[in-house]
Amino acid sequence: MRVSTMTRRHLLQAAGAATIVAACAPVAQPGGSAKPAGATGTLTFLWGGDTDKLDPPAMTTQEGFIATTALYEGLVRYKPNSTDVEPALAERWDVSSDGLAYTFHLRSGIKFHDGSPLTAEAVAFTFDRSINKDNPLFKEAQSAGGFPFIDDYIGNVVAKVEAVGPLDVRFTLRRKFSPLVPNLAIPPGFVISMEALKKFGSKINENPVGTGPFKFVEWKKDDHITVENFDGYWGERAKLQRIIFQPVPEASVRILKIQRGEGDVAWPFDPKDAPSVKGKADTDVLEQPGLNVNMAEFNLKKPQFQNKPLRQALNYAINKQELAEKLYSGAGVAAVGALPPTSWGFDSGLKGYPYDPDKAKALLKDASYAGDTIILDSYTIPRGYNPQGAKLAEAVQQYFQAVGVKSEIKTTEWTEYRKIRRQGQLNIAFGGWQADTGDPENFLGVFFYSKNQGGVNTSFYGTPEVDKLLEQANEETDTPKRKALFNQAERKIVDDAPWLFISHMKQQVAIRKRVKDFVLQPTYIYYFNKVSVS
Amino acid sequence: MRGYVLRRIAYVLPVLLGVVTVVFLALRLIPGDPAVALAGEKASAAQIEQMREALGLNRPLPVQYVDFVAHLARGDLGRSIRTGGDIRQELIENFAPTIELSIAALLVALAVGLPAGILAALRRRTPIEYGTMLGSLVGISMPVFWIGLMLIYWLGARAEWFPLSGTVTPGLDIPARTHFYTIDGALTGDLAVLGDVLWHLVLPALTLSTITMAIVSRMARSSMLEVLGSDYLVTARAKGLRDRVVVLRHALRNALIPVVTVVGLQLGALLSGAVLTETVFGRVGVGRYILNAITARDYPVVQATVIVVALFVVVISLVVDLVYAILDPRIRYA
Repeated sequence: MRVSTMTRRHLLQAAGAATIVAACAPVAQPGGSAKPAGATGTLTFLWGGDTDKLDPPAMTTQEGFIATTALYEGLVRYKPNSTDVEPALAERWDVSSDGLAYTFHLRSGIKFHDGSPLTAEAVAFTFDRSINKDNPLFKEAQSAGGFPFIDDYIGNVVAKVEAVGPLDVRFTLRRKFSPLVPNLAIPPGFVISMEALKKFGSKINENPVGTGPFKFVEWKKDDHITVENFDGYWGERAKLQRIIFQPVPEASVRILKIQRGEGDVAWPFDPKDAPSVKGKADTDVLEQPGLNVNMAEFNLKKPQFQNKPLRQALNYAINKQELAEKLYSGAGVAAVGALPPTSWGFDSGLKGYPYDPDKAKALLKDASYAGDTIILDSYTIPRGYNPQGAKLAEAVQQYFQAVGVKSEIKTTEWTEYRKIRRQGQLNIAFGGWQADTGDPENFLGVFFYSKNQGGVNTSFYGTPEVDKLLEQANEETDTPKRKALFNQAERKIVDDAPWLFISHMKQQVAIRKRVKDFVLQPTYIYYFNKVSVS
Repeated sequence: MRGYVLRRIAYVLPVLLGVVTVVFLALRLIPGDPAVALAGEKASAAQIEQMREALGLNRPLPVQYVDFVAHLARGDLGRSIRTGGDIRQELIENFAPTIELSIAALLVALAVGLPAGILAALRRRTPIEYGTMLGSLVGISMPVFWIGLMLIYWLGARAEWFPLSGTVTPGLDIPARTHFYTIDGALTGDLAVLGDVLWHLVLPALTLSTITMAIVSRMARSSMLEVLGSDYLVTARAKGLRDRVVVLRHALRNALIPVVTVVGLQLGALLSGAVLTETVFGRVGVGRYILNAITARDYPVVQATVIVVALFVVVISLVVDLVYAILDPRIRYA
């Protein structure tokens, strides 16, 4: 059990002004219910901000995704450190020959934390609440922000979800959509207790009841979330007795807490702080390329950028490796395309645009670049895929200058920036993406499918060839064939250069060495089942 | 006196209505669409429109304003978009720890600043005066977040005397009765719990107190110097009163009048300082609550919080005016 390392001796060492406090400040021990047999220790997970909600389809924060993964489960889940899925609440599933009906067969004997059984009816109830706009619970949730991502992953393609047997649940699709199964592994696909939903309505947000290996204890907003080992878990019992998720807004303080032992895992943190915990006696850093992309998009609605050699030239002008190492303190990985190396759709043969200023200059001649000034539109705040915010634009401006391209940086407040970017008002606009699922569709489809123009596709890219490949990839159920289709689409996209392909930020987690078997996940949705503390 | 009190209270109402109107308009006129912010980076155009409708932002501004004031008059602050929670309840939960922190900081500021200022006035041109003035200059000049980080690093991480962040050790069972952690901690009857709460309060209170401490000490010094040079103190000394009596009974009371005003105003300033202090120390409080709301463009929360904070500051100013009138009878007849 982790508590503050404060001792009475330390108290007495403190300044005289605090003697009144010291007199009544012996070390306090966290209370709580009895320890479940076989489970030991508390893991303290530090993050920057509190989650917004704990209602799986309603959340918008990564913190919420992490916390609810301890409490809830989907019909499927990701394999360790993979974007491939494996059975979870469903032991298997069948797909109809026309690809429009998915029938999931649930494991028997699973119970929610409130003791109610997992049935096909309960699963259908969860999904009807989140996708059926006439459901009273759906309407109730709207006044509190609704379910922002459900349509992207499930709602747009799933017409209905119904129980077709006590443990058999059928998803009927409007069109063929093979990413459905991996999409059910993320929180919008988590199954909530039907009894609890009936009881709490949208207040399920503060009273989460799932089937996960940990059950909810308390959520003291902005202070901590506590979850505890669920002794009625259907699978292998979790090894930890308890997990405390604690927001620590200051990134440097999160690292200090890891060093001192006031926290076990810290995510995220400033890459510059990594050396102070990496490879130390008690602490270390786990890292791998993240499932994200950092880029700048050419607004193809503007005639200035309807010039392929110009776009290619500017891609060759940027030293992505240098940016990854210097600007991002080694926490970046140079991009060759849109997909990061952690995606199963990554094309290892893709070369992209290696830094080549001479080639850039030659292409600029082909492009008939006449020395006109290019506007670089940038947001101001740091983003997960670009922790340096507007500094990236300054670096890119210098690379452009080195090949003789004049540019001017224009920064806009983030919310306004996103609004006018969708309206097609920007020029070369910096942006990025943190994928929610591991499916390549979650990168290539959202950004380069012509029907998404003005939505997330704000380069306004779209070609019949790429559209067709992406549609085929969405309908195909065989993974190697899908990969080939995505690779073909990405090669065409990279050749067309609608983006400056810049980098992928590494996923970094600072950790105490007493924590065993904590495995990174490309989706940042960590599973705590096997984690233990010594 | 009653006329004076009623007059002062009457001034409060237009001030509050002004605050309500300004807050309402300011949030809607600044760039950045809340529907875009709330729908998230990945939302489609249809989802943003849906969000705008759910928030009532598609209605004309005057309709939104009347609706807003009507709800406010009924004490209905609405629901947070970010958390989905009842704003009134969330404000209660967050306001109490901030008041607690502000009072603790004020007590530290007074306990150190007042004696230091008075001593500096009594020991002119000595190291005590120079030290106090230099200390207060440093206190005013240093940014709160920097002082906080330094205290965390030196007294928390290096010396290991204090916890690095948080309001209380996570997992401690403290039933929320009043939402003041010290009171709730004391109500558990467990000294260890109360100690843990107070121990988490020391560094944030010290951090937040620095500016107020500096201002109080400078104010106390200059005010004391002015009073010490006045004729009635010369008379008191001529009567043969001891220095101690002259200072404590005659000089201090009059010297405290401007200090009281400053302390009242500082309580408002402490609330704004709490935003940084609570963020640096990861404490629960209204400062962090509003910061999160601003970041998420949680309009209902920002509106409600600013109005409640404004109300709080107005009430403090009122109380200060009343205390002032009690201390100096000339005020009520002005």
